[in-house]
Amino acid sequence: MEYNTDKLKNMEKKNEIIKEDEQSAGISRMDFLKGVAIAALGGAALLTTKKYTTSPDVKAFEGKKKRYGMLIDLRKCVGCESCTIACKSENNVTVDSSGMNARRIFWNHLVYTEEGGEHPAIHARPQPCNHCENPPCIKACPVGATYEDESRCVVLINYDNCIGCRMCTVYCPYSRRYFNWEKPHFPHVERLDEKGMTASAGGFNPSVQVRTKGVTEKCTFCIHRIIAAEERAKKEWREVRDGEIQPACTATCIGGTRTFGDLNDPGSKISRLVKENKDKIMRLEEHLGTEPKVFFIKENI
Amino acid sequence: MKTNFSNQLIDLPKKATGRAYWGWFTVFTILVLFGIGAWIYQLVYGLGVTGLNRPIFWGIYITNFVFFIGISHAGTLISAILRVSNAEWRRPVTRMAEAITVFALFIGASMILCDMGRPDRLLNVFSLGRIQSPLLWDVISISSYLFASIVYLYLPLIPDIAAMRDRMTTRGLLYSFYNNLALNWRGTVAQKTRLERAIGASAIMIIPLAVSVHTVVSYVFAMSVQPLWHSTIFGPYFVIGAIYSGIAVLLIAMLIARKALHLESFLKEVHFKYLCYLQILMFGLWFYATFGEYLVTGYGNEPSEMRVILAKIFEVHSWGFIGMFAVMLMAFFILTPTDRLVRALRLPTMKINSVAAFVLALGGWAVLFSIIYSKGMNSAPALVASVVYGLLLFLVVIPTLRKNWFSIALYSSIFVAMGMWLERFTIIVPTLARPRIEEMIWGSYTPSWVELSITVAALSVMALLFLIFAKVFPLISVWEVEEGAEAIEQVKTNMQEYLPDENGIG
Repeated sequence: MEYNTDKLKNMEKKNEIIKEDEQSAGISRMDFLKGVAIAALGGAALLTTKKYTTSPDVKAFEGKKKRYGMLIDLRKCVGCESCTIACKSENNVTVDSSGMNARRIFWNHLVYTEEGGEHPAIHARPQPCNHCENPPCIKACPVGATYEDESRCVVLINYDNCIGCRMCTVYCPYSRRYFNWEKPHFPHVERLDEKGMTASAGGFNPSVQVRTKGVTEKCTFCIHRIIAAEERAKKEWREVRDGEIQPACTATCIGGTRTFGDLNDPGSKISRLVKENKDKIMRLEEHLGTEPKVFFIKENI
Repeated sequence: MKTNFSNQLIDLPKKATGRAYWGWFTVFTILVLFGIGAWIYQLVYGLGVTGLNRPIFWGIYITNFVFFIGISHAGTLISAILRVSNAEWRRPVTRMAEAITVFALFIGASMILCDMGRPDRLLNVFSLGRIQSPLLWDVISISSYLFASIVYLYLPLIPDIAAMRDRMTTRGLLYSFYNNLALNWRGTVAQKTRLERAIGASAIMIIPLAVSVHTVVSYVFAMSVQPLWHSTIFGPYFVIGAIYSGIAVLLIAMLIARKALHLESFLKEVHFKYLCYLQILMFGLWFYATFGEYLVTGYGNEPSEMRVILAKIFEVHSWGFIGMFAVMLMAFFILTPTDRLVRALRLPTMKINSVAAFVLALGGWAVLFSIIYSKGMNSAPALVASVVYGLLLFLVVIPTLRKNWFSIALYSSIFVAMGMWLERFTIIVPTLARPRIEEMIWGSYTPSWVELSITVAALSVMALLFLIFAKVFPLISVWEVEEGAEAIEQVKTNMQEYLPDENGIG
């Protein structure tokens, strides 16, 4: 079964028709992808060392430059893994590629550490992509398939250009990138198909591209949700409100562990929390100079 | 003036035939076809058919890539350095060295194709290439080296191709093949001067290019911030290892050609002796770099680096690291006159069949390693096994294998080639198995049958290309050997120039 070609296109078409009813103008996902492709092609042709600017709608959206980041309050995390599940279903992540534990794909990976001794404890730490401001993965990519969306400071991948050399997976000091070792597998969609229903009946999230085998993927901070919120704001002639954008993991978190927002905006909740908890904040492997934008509030203070 | 051996050498390709030749040809072809089948299987089902996983994203494909690109240094670098330094004994060696370079480069580059998730998008590297990525440096450096070494193989071939053309009696397709390749070579003085100038210039230019190739290969690892990869020694370290393994493979190829084509009067013991001396030097450099690398990082005791070092020595892939040291030391003991030391100590030595000794050395090592791995270093069985193995090695194996320079060259080269492959493996895999984020599931990696059969196929392609080359062109540079024979008088006058005058001081 081929999910990622015809069916998805049909789904996109349907979606666009609905969208057109709602909004006459604006940037659709297809336009976004086209923009990405054109920008990547044009930039690469120049063979410069410049970072890849895609910013498909930078002209249309003349707001301030965003710097999206995430704060995870580990004191509140109960380790329920709902973020993992929400992320998987939101982003059309393959369910199980091969039965090999080490090949599973979790854009949001919960890692547990056990603490022995008199009062044993288990600590959970969710790990999305850090969306570093100085990302080693972007430097490593030989074809510019992974790039930084400069207007939002989010590290993305153009799945249509990725050659699967795994330079970026190897260069990421956080091991936050995943590789499609096999053809993605979606049992729930298969079940729908068996019942004679089409995949668009709810099998896939139509606004996220399904990856093929042999390409790299990782957390995008739910870029489709960011773009949708920005479009909505633009339609209403206003700035994006703080807290309006919620990636799937943030929206679903039962403990309110996660805060997502613009780090450039000093008034946003995330900026305030980062400022208030200055002494409790940590980022992973800060000494490497990658400037990760996922902040953690430490548990044991 | 044609010396009497010239025609024999020109007819070498005709000797590359017979039952043994076609037998090996068939064997290697079958292995290659099986490897291609495995690759197609991988293309259909994705890289999931390999043993790779997260975080061990790179495995023996990349090991093979580094290994084969390393072998390619054998050649061109050795022959270029010997040409530039005017070492007369180089003459029968250069052709094979240059041929190995070209073959190994082709195979090394194709290993990347096997490792890619989307080989159908290979051309993206050219259309979307980004110079910031170390992988693109590789593409540029390796493709220029491939071009340069094809030219460098071809230039000294021209007079020999012309000689082959001249000896042909029929005017068929084969004649026009050689005729076209000979580029109208008539052996005139002007042509000779030009050719020698071209060879000289390309010999000098190819040395920095060859050094750059393996430096850039090492940069693919060293440019990352991963523990034990991010090291400034990697450039020279990889170049040293490349030359070391390159000469080893060259020696093996020379020994096979000598035996199969009866080249005893051309490839003499002295050639192997000099190359073995070079190998002792390369061992020293290799050991110096390895020692420096592990002492510096181990002494520094940085946690993420220590995790990798400890994983290398004690954990799941320790067979690679410790095995590398074992075979490298065996190669060193074979290359250096260890047997004289044993005799000076008046210890009883014994000589057995050399193949048996080789098997004994490796098999004994495997037994010793498995005992130490299962029982621990300080256990009684491990101590007994080490003593027994040590005695066997020094009293039986090494005196046997150090029979003459041919056997020294053969067995030390096999050990060096194995050791260098293992070195590449232990550089690549343990670092990936112990990533910086401690809570990550620590990985282990076992190559699958697909990876192994593609590796075997890669080695077979090497052998197959060598067989085909031996059938088409002479494996020894005829005109250069001739020139060497004629050059004795010239060398005499040259030496007269710098030898002290007879009247001495005053």
